Amino acid sequence: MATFDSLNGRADAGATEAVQTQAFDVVVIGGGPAGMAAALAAHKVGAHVAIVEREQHLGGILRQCIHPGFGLSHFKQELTGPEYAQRFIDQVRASDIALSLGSMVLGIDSSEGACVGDPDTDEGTGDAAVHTVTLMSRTGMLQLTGRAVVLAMGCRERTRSEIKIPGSRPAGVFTAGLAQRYINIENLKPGSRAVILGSGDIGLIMARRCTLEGISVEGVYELMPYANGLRRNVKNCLDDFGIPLHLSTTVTRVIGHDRVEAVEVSRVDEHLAPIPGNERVVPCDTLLLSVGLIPENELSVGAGVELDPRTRGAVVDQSLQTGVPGIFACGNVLHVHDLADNVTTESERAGAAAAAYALGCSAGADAGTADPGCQLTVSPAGIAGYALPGRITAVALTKLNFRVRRPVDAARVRILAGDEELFAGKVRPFKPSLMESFPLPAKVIQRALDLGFSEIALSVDPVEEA
Amino acid sequence: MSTNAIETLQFNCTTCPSECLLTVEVERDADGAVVEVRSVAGNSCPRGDKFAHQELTCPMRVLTTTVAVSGGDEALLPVRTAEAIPLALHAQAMALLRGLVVKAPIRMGDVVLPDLLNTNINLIASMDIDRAQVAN
Repeated sequence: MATFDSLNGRADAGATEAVQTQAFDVVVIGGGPAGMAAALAAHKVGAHVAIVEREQHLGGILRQCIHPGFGLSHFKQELTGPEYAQRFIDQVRASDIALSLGSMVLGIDSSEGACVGDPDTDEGTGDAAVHTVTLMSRTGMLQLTGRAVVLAMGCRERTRSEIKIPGSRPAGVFTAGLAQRYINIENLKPGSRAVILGSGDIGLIMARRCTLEGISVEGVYELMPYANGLRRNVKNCLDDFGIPLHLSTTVTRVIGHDRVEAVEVSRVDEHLAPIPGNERVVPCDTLLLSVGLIPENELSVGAGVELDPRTRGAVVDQSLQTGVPGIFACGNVLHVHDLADNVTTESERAGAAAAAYALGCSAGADAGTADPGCQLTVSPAGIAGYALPGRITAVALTKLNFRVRRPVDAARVRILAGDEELFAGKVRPFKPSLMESFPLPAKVIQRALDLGFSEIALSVDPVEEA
Repeated sequence: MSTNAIETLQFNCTTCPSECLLTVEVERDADGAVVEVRSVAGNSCPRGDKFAHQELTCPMRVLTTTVAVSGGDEALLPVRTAEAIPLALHAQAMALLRGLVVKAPIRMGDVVLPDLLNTNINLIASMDIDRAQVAN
């Protein structure tokens, strides 16, 4: 590994010092599982790569996900989050990938003026703009230029203000991931008696973690009529400890002046509206919220990247390139994943595609090479909540990811172009807690183009039980 | 002579990400103790059958938690049992680990506590912790 400790080309001494600039092929923003996998994949094909990470350590959120359940598909064994991260940290450390830790990216400038004048980039100047990543570290401001940038900033938790829980505003209301950080990284105890709202995986994991650490968990409350997390987490985190899961129930009021003293919970009807008259007060000093994750795209938007309102991540093509040429996105900043293993697989694709773009060769980027004349947009239909990539520019086998909006026992994936059904998958169950992947054959893409369509839909349609 | 009851249970296998929903028929004696697992259905591989039998006799889980670190660049070291240990021992293990402090540096896989509660299973480090950087 290399660090930025030895700076070269210092500006002339003067009242103001020019901002240091270092040139790379690929600059990766974020040192979590997505950023590390993308950086390693880009490095593997010969790109000169830098990772910028806000924290002092690589690993991202995996450092606080101390529970097992990682690596079953990527490493074929069950690892904890830190073990999963450490395997990638070791690989990064053994490489000459440049690391800028404790560094906050302030912005990405993709304007064409910010150019390094590399003779290799003469052809297709429009695409060869160099991106400038400006960051602030302990040693000052630094600019990294890259012909490609990989966005791997991960996601943030939804907070109380985003779900608008009425009541007072005392201390003791935390997002579940923040409480996880307090307990697992900072050695702080967030409270003694907790109520958890939301049955997403983080909420379930925290129910067990709190219990083991001597924080009693009064119950997990879930607005929807089904648990949102993985089945294994419901079983191992709630059932093992006798923690009740209250479905179709939500927190309707926070009670307490300086500190949470109780929360009021209510059952909801089929439209998710609280049913008046059956409120119940649950004494507690802590409310943990596990109510969803939002891709963290402030930097992307600043760089001019178009977002998909459904995923709240970038609109990308089959090579995970955003609408800004040379900027790629992967992991939870692109769409929220349930498994780190899937983040790794996706990010390796993004890293390889970014390197291929930066190095200006199409070798190894077979699925990424655009075919002139192939411009298809992909949108979700039926109960599919989103479809990714949103844009297809090559006639090749394409991995489509999607998530359904509600659980169904029997449904099938269909690819539609207008009224034409181009493909129908087999009937099987789907649930919102699982991100699905579907291989779209090249011949289906070709067929849509032959029929003159510029838009296809990935539709998940429930099938009536026979 | 016997008042054994037959009970049908449903739970998910957690061996792999498929999470097969198992339907398990179990015979219990008057005290509720499992006499025999009569049948397991719903598993799509033999591991599901093995899991159901284990689950009804002595459920096993990997325990993960943290222990305090002295002299490290992090306050806590994430640790795990190298293999699953009986779920029934987790609370006792947590009580034992509460007072434990380990010294940095530590490497992933280092044994933090050998033979945890006579299970023959070691408690191991999940991550590297380096020595704290001395400020100037």
